[in-house]
Amino acid sequence: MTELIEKALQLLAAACAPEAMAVLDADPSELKETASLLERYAIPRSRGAKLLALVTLLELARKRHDGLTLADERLTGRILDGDYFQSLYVQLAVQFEEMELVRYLAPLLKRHYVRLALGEAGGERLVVSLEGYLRAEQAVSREEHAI
Amino acid sequence: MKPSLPETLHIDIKRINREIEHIVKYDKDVPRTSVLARSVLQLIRSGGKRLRPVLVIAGSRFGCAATGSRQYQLAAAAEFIHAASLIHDDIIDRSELRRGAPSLHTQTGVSAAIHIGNYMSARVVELLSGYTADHDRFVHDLSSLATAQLCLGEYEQLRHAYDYDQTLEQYLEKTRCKTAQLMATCLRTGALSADARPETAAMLYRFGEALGMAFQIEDDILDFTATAETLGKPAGSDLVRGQVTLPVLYALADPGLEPYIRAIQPETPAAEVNDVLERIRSGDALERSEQMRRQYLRSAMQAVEPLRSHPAYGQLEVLHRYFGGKTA
Repeated sequence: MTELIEKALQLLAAACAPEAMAVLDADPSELKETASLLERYAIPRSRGAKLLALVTLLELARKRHDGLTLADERLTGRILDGDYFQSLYVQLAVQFEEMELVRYLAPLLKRHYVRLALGEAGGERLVVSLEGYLRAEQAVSREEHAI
Repeated sequence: MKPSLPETLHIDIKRINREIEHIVKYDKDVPRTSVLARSVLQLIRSGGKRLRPVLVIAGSRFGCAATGSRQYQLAAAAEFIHAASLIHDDIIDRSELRRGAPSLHTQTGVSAAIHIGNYMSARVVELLSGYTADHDRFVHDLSSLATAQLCLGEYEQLRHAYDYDQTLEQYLEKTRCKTAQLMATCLRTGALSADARPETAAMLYRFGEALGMAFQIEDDILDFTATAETLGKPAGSDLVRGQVTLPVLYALADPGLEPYIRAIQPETPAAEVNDVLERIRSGDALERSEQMRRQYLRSAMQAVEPLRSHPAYGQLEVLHRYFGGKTA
């Protein structure tokens, strides 16, 4: 699992533009739950690292934009970081050929922001959304196999 | 009355506006009377030149497929991305006005405004995520590459605030990221969406990038020459916020002006800033900036010279005249 997390963080470090001032400060211990999920679903290591990297970007974007006020000393940096991580997520998903994941998560991510914009609690945790995707993907694979 | 840019290009602006509004109105996840729906619609209806959607449609005319609902959807998505970036920009700049009206965060609070911007970006990703085929990959440039470039431009701006040692190259790179690349991507996306040849789309990209550079330089010049009413914000805002724009860079090369400009810091009184603005206006910095702008306009036309015999070439001439500051 540690190897998977390290590989995901390496992918992110390589993808992040040097001009970006965003710090990829993902906490490896927080990635363990997602890494463990990917292992449970027997996702091959190279793909697992990519999926973990993508979900980590979304998680970082959420954290950066959480609870911002004009009084925040790092307001500008946090806005830019969140925006950058979100666009990098799509960019990497295209590169990793994981657009089906983007398609699956898109309405969930959008509904999360709708709730927050309306002052409600956010949507489901990203690890839960990812599990939904992996489950759906395996169901399709089983159906295709049966045919 | 002079025809508008969309009228001259025979672009149905009402259809574009309808399509933009549909993005939020037909979103079943957004309550119709919610602050979210009202805020997005208010922002969209507050005006704006719709340059990015116009560029998508103009680009699509270089393809062999007819311009239709797909192109209008992409055009609307481009404007949605631009509008979302404006919400976050206004918070970053602490701007209380947008197009002469109170900016969104002053009405909803910062946290809600951040998430309204995020909603708009996520909605575009949702709409475009239907394009999963390999030959449709270019569609995602709008919500990934171009958007990431916008952020990189903003990072550069942040890094170089009140940096009077910024180089011309750094300024140009920031401008390319912040303004020019989204415009260029709009033209290319429009062209590829209508099955234009990749070489044609690449030429249109270079044309759009040069026009975008000229557009931003004009904006920089207007900060010194236009009135607050025209700008929708106080004149000289860039200098007050420590933005070392092209006229400021040229003015810094004048030893008589340099110390006055370098003295401008976040707490500098308005009267002192106004004095520096006046000094810059009376020097040759604006004229030199104008020359650079014209140079980009010339590069734009050179980039599309091989398309001269294309039936849609006239669209590019109209865009060139518009960005060149002449009436379309």
